[in-house]
Amino acid sequence: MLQTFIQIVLVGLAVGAAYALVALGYTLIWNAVSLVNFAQGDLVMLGAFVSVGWLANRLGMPLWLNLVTMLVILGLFGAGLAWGIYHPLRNAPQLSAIVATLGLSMALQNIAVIIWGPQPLNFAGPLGTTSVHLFGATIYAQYLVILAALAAMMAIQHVLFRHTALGRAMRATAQDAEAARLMGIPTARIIAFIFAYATMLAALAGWLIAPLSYVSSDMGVNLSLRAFAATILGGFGSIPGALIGGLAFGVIESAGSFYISSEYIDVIAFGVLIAVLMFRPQGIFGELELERP
Amino acid sequence: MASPVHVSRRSLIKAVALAPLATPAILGRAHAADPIRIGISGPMTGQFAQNGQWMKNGVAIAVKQVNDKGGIKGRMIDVRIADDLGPNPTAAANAVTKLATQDEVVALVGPHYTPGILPNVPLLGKYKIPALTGATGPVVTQQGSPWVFRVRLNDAIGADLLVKYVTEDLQWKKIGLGYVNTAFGQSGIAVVKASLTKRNIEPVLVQAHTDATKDFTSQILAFQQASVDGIIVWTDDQPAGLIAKQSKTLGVKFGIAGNTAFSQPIFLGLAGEGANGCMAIGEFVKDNPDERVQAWKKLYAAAYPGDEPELYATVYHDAAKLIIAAMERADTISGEAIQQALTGVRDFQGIVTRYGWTDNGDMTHSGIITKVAGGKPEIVKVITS
Repeated sequence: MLQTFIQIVLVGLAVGAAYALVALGYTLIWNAVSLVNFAQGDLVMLGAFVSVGWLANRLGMPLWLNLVTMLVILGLFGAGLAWGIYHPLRNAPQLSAIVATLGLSMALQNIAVIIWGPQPLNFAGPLGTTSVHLFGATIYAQYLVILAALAAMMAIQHVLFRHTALGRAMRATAQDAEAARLMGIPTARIIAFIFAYATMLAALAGWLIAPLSYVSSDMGVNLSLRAFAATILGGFGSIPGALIGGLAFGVIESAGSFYISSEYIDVIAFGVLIAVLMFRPQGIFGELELERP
Repeated sequence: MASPVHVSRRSLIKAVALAPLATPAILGRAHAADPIRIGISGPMTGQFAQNGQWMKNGVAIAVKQVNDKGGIKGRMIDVRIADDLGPNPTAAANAVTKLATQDEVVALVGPHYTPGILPNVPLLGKYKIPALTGATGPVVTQQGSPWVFRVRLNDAIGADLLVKYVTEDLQWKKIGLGYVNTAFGQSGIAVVKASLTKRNIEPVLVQAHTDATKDFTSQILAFQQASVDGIIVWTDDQPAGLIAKQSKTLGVKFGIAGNTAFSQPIFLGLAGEGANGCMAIGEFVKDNPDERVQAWKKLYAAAYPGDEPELYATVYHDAAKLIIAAMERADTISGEAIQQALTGVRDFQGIVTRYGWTDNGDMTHSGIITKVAGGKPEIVKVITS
C-alpha cells in the first residue's frame, strides 16, 4: 500500500528530524570542545516548557514571537552553560565535565517540575491537530512543519558556517581550538556561541515536537538516547552524519514498528545500529582515525 | 556538715545510677504522645508526579479529619512521603525501605503502580507493614502476600468485564490489542487475551509500546490496515491520551476501549477531542450524581481550590480511611495489628465503593464502564463481579 508507506516514511522522517536537531547539538559541542553534553535532550524539554509554560500560557505571546523569544532565552542559557559548566572544568579530566552534564540533566528535569508542575502541558503549535491529505495518505500537518523547519535550519546553518566570519571562526575552533586561538580568534566567546547555537537547535526540536505529544519534564530523556544513537550511526563528529543519522533512525523505528513488530522496536532500531557499527565502525559519514605504528 | 561539693557529687552519682530506671518511663510517656506515622509511596517527581500529588491530597484530607478530632487513641497521625517515581521498581523498593526503616511507618498508602508494588511484596512481609495499593495488575495479588491490600478493581476482573461489554453489548468481532510493556500492561493484556479466547475470539493484532513512546502513527495505521472493529488498550494515562489524540488526527474509525486510564483527567487533557467515544473500565468519575461523590467533591474543592477530585485522590482517601478505621479497631498501633484489623474488613463504605477483604487481598469488587462524551466520562454500565 503506497499511501501507508508514504505515511510511515514521513512520520519516520519527522520524528527523525527531532533526533537530527539534537544530534547536531551533540556533534557541534563534541567537535568544539570534545565534550558529550548528556543534558542535550533536557534542553529540548526546557525549550518546550519556556515556550508553553511561560510565553504561551502565562504571557499569551503570539506564536512566532513566542518561538523567537524562546530561542533567544535558550541561546543565552546555552552560553551560560559554556561559562558555568564547560569553562570551570575545561582543564579537569574529561570525565568530570561529562559527569557534570549528567548532573545538569537530572537537575533540569527536577527544576522543571518545581517551576512548571508535574502535570503535562498541551501545546497546539502552529496548526493544532490539523491533518492534510497527500497522495491519498492522511498526514499530521505538524510533521510537515517539522520537516520544513529542519530544511530551513540547515539552509541557515549552511549560510552561517560557509559565508560569515562567525561561522568560519566556529569551524576553525571546532577543527583546532588551540590553533584558532593563536590566529586571534576569541575561542572562549566562540565556544559560548557554539553552546548557545546547539541549545537553540535542541529547544527548536522541543517546540516542534510538543504539539505531537505533550510537554513534560522527561520528554527529553528518550529523545536524548535516540539522538545519541543517531549521532553514532551517522558518524560521531560529522555534521551531515548527525542529520542523516537522525533521519535514518526515525525511519528505521517507524518502518520497523509497522512492518515488523512494535514489541521489538528497540531491538530492531538498536540492532541496526550495532550492525552498521560492526561493518562500518566509524558510522555512515565518519572517518576512520589511523594511527601511525 | 556536708560540703556543697560533696552533696552535688552524691546527687550526680545518684542521678547517673537512676538514669537507666528513669529512661523507660520518660520514653514511655514520649511514646504515648508520639505521632503515629503512616507512609505514602508515590511518584512525586517525573512524568507521573501529578498522580502522586493527588495521592497526597486525598490522604491529607482523611488525616486532617481524624487529627482535628484528637487523633487515634490520643496520638496524632503524621504522614511521611517517599518518591517512588511511579512504575519504577528500583525507586519504589528504595522508597518503601526508607519509609519502613527510617520513618518507621506502621502502614503504607501505595506504591500505586504494579511495577512499583511488585518488588515490595517481600519487603512488606519483612518489615511487617500492610500496604494499601491501587495497582490493578493481577500479578500483584497472585503473590499471596497477606500484607498487600488492593483498593481498586483487580484487572483480572476488570479486563474480563470490559471484554464482555465490547463483545456482547458492542458486538466487536475483529479486535486489536495494545499494551504498555511493563508488568502492569503485560498482566492486564494477558487477562484480556484469556477473556477473548474464552469467547472464541483471537486478537487480529497485538502491539506494545512504552511510557516513553510519543508517536503511535505506525501502530494506529497497523490497526487500521487490520480492519479492526475496535482496540482494547491496557496502558498508563499519558500513552492513552496520545493514542486517542493521534487516532483522531489520523481519522481512523475503529473504537477504543481500555483500562481506567481512558477516563482520567490526564488522558482527557492530552487527548482533547480524541477522547470522545473512548470507553474504560474503572471505579470512579467525579460527575457521578451519587451523594457521597458530590459531598466529597465539595470537601476536596474546599481543601484544594481550583482542583477537582479524580480517581487517585479519591481511592487513596478511602485507603487512608481504611487504615484509620483499622487502627481504631486494633488493640495496639503496630503494622501487624493493623494488618489483622484490615483482614477483618467486610463492608466498609468508602467514596469509590464498598470495600470488603477477600483471601487474595482484593478489597474492591465492582466497577463501572465509562464512555467519554463532550470531554467528560459518563457511566454507561455498573458491573459487580
